Amino acid sequence: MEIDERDEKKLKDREKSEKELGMEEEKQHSPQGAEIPQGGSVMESRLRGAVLQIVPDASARERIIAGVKAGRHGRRKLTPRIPAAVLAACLLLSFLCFARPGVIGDDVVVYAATEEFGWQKLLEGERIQLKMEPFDTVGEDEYMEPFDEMGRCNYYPYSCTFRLEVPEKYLYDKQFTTLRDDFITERGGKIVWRVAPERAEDAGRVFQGNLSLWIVDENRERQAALELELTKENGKCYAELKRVWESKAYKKDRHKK
Amino acid sequence: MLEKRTDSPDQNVEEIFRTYGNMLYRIAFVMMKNVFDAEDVVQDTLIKYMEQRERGKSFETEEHRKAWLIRVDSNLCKNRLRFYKNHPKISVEQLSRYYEKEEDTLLMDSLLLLPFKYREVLLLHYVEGYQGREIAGMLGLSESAVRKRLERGREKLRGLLQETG
Repeated sequence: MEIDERDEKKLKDREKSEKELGMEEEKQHSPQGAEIPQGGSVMESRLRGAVLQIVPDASARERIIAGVKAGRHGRRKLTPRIPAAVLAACLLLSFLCFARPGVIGDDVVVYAATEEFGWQKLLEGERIQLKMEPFDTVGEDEYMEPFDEMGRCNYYPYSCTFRLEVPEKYLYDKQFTTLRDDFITERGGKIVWRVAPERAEDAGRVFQGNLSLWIVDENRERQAALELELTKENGKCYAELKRVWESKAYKKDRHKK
Repeated sequence: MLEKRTDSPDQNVEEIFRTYGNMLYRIAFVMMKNVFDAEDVVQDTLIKYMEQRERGKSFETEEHRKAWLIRVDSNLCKNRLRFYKNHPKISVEQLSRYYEKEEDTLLMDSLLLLPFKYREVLLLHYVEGYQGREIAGMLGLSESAVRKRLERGREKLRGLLQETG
């Protein structure tokens, strides 16, 4: 091979000149000055001879080439290098998108218990179906009329639950407009929507009510108003969060980085 | 010439390995002191080479290509050694497979006991045939530092050989 021959020739030429260089260096730097121990150059040529005997055997050669090919077509391709700036931008973006409020800004967060996802954060304008958990129960063999003689609800078979996370410096207050026979209560730090049985005459009707949430500061001054629109439709319950109003200070707080 | 060939990348890497594989392997072996790491380093060097080629890197001369490969090979060894710094690997059994003469095994054994910086310059100078100036350019050192390392490396090697033999 042309390159091999050329390299060999060059190496031989170099070998001569470098032997000289080596000797020169010995002369210049060795503490003995011009007295160069004869063993020195022998040692170096022996070293060259010994090191040159190190060559990969056939199986090692195969492994290396196979590894290079696999590396080029497989491993490396699967992990493309992403410029640091792009990576940083992606990380920042995902942080801004998924970071919980309070981390990048202060805002109240409403979670609802759902069948599919457990506690789900309510996003503005998104209607989600709520999990209806059994609430008041009667024994298996017992029967209780859902409504008494006066038309009042006897028991509430289901409940839907909400959880609120309010920033430290704020408090909240709530106000509920009725939704047929249902009502809202607070239990164990959670807001519970007690769902009444459906009346026969209500079949096919849609009922809607609002739970207003007022965010107040330490001075009891209102800073924001949220509305939880609750809907009962075909025996299922839904909720949708709406932001009604917020003070400038609250808005600034919510968007602070 | 290699530069003008229009072979597929795989053919090209085999060609490079045929030409420089032994050199890269012995550098890696002397630096890493074991065949497993040596193989990995050569492999990674060739992968880097192919990546650079795919990105359009060209070499002015064959010497430039060779020097680039040595530098990458050596840098990869350094990276690995940094990783392994608390787990030095010296395997005389692995050395003996290359040598029939015991004195060669002892010489190599002594070479492998030298600190990396001395092994590196001794190898490039005495085995690969590079001059001080070239080594300096390759390793990013001053010429005088290379000379000093060569001198100290020789002294240390001689000292180790006297101790063992």
